[in-house]
Amino acid sequence: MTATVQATKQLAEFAADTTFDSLSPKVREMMPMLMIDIFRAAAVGRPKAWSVDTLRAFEGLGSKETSSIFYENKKLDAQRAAYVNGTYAGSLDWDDSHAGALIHPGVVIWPAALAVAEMTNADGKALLTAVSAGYEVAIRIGMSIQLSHSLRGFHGTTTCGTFGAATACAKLFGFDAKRMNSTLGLAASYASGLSQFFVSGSDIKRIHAGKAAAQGVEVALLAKADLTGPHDVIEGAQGFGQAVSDAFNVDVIVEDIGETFHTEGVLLKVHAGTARLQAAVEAAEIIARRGVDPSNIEKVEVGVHPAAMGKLSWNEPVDTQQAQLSAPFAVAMSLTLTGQRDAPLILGLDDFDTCVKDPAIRALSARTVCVIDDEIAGATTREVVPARVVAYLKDGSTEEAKVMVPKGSGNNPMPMDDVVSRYRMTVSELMSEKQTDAWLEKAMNLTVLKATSDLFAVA
Amino acid sequence: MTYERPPAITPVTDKVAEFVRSLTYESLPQNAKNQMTIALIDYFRAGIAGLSMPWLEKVKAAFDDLGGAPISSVLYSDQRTDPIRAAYINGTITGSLDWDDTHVGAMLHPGVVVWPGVFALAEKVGATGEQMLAAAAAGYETDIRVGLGVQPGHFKRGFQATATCGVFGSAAAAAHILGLDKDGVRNALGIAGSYAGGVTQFFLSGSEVKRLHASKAAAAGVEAALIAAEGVSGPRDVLEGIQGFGKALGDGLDEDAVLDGLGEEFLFMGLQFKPHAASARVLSQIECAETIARSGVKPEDIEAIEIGVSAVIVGRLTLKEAGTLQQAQMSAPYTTALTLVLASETPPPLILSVNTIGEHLGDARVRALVDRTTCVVDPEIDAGLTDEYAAGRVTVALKDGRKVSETVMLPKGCWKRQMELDEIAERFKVVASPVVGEDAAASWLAKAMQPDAVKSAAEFLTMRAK
Repeated sequence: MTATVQATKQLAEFAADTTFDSLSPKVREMMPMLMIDIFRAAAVGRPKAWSVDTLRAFEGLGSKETSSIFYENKKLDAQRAAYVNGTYAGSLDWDDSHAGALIHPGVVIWPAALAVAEMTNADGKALLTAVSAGYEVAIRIGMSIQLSHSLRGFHGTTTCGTFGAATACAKLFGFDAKRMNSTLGLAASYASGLSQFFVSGSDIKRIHAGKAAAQGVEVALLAKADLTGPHDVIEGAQGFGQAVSDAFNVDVIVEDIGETFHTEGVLLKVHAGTARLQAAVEAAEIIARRGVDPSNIEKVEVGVHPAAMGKLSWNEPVDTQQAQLSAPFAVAMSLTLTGQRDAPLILGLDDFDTCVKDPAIRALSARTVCVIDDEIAGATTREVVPARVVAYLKDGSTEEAKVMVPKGSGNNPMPMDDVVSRYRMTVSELMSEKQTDAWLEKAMNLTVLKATSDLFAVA
Repeated sequence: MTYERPPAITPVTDKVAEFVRSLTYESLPQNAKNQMTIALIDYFRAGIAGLSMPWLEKVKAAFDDLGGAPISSVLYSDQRTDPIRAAYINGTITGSLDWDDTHVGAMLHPGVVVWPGVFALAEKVGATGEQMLAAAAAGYETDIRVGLGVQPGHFKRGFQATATCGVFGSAAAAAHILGLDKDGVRNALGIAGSYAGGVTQFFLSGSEVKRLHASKAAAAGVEAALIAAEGVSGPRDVLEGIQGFGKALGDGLDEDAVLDGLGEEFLFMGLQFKPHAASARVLSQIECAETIARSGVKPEDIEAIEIGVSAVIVGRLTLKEAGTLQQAQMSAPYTTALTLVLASETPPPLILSVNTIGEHLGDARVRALVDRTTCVVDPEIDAGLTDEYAAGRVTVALKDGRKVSETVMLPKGCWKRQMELDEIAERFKVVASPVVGEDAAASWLAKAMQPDAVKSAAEFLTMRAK
């Protein structure tokens, strides 16, 4: 039972052979920006209850202090630092994403790589190269198993992210292709994570990125200690691909590998909700700016791709987590908050926290339903998720807007300036302006950074 | 078209959490207490065999880079580390050999994930023997019932239930030891669900990953319980939810299989304790082969071997290549051939230990017999497959034209032909004495036979590898 495409082996060879110079110029350019945004996300997530709880769970276990925790002036071992940092950064649904792979690669891969890079005293260029290899591996695996993977009930960020984090850590340990192959073989048995939180909420998604980051570190350490995994674990007849997907497409993994970087399709979201509701928020903002008063709205329809049904269509969220995954709720927020704010609208995590308890917004959300929209479905691609919003007003008239390419997707990325200013705003209470300037100088010049630990030396 | 929220379904996870929370040693029937005593002794026997395995040193080396506070003991040693890593290492010691307890219907090895979950935290909280056995009972029952809820679809997709369902077993045991309330247990299970991974590609491609499947599940359960204890919540319906464990990793959850008789009937009474270090589903074939060999059939007399198997094991346990120890332990042709060779020249009882199997990997006499073996799906054997045991048939065609056939419908060790406490204890002594010393093995055994008199976990942790 030998598969004709040796996907695991080819991924391993790609990752082992990746150098800074073999990356595409665009990937090299994107990475510092993505890292800055991870540090931004971590600052937002750090004070949340689940972040505090997770740090407390691991602090008492007294491990070696090799790797820094974001903004804490504390260190833990590389695995647990990755867990805590992944939880800080990854708990927000306000981070980078790849629409085709349906994953948030950064929140898993950066925390794992930063922890191991600090442990191994890697420089910025090695860190950037390792992370880039990790992104590409995670994204290609994700693309090969989606959409079925998600429909079965798996959360791709934590499953695919484990492979990506393990790959990045393995690069930092300097593995050759054979050991990289074993790393992927081991990672498959750690690649887990369910999406029941879409239905039932809870804190679990808040710790998914941290868990996957920690498992990536663990897997790389196991491979470093000479433990082996199945060489064909992804494409094998009893391997990962067919176990977690009903539509595994092995060719996607190897097609143009090393030539085409799907990482280039990674985008940063404007709003603190899933990537797949950004267009709906923007469309609702357009309607609200026409002067529509939310109290005059009878009901709202959100036109979506069929895949959003049952995932993003719940309109009575039980908690902030579910609100961030609810297209109707985000539309209700957008319709309500736009009139109270200057343009452009940015829905932050605190907004979701507040609005989920707001009776008027909840009532509007309850009057908002997702409907399958053929035009939207036809225009939905791996990279771009459009939406249509139709508001039915009490006077019998309707207001409609559609957004085919939301900000932060396709050819409409967030520019570096926006990323930097969002970072500045977020960390302003943690760091002085001078410290922020100094940190940004290091981060933007990641390729000449001498030691990863310098990134933690500021706050 | 709008998408309606599905109707409420039975709160399976919640009921399991309530079962775990409310279980006490006093509430267990006597036969369940005895079964846990047997399981404890057999677990420590299984660990003895794992101490000399090369992957154990590798796992310890991997964790050396990370450290860990000296809270929990590593079995058979003076080493201590934090509870999560202790569970991992202890899972590796005991769970890596396919020579441990099995629930055939759930298609998993519960003991090797549940006991590490118990021992990880027992010292920390000062648990008594009774508390440890109660926690283990909660873990075993949870693990087995979750397995029954997803099998056989789970296995057919390519998941190994020891690794996947095991996270729930370990989490239940750890949550019980920690004394979490019902919500805490449910959160631990909810968090554990996101750690449920482990594929079966090793059946085809070998490697060492299966050696880590119990370890990682055991550690994940402890980690989930500790995180839940700090107040982090998990989905309340992780098992039965429409995007939960049963659906994602199987064909959905059979909630009756999980809940029927929960709290009244203990399915761990159906455990199989293995006489050999081989897959539970090849034990009947080994027994057939032993009977044939002891009837006077010599390897050199054999023209061809036909093994009657059930359909579900074809392609998984029927591989003839068996180039590695792992594959050999999982191969009906290989273990049958090895038995025909060994039983023809050694007195009973036959014990196919890990070492024995390993030593004969390159044995030309065994290979010659494997080459002449075919596995066929046998309707009667297929019908003899139940939740608790797998039947087997071996038919040997001799060079003189005769045929000898043996059929075992109930392998030794299954619940209808159980190994008794005395047999388990005897086997423990035989295996443990050379490694920890005769006196240490005997005094440990005396404690383990009376677990209700054990005041602290330390009394179970007296053995040291010499």
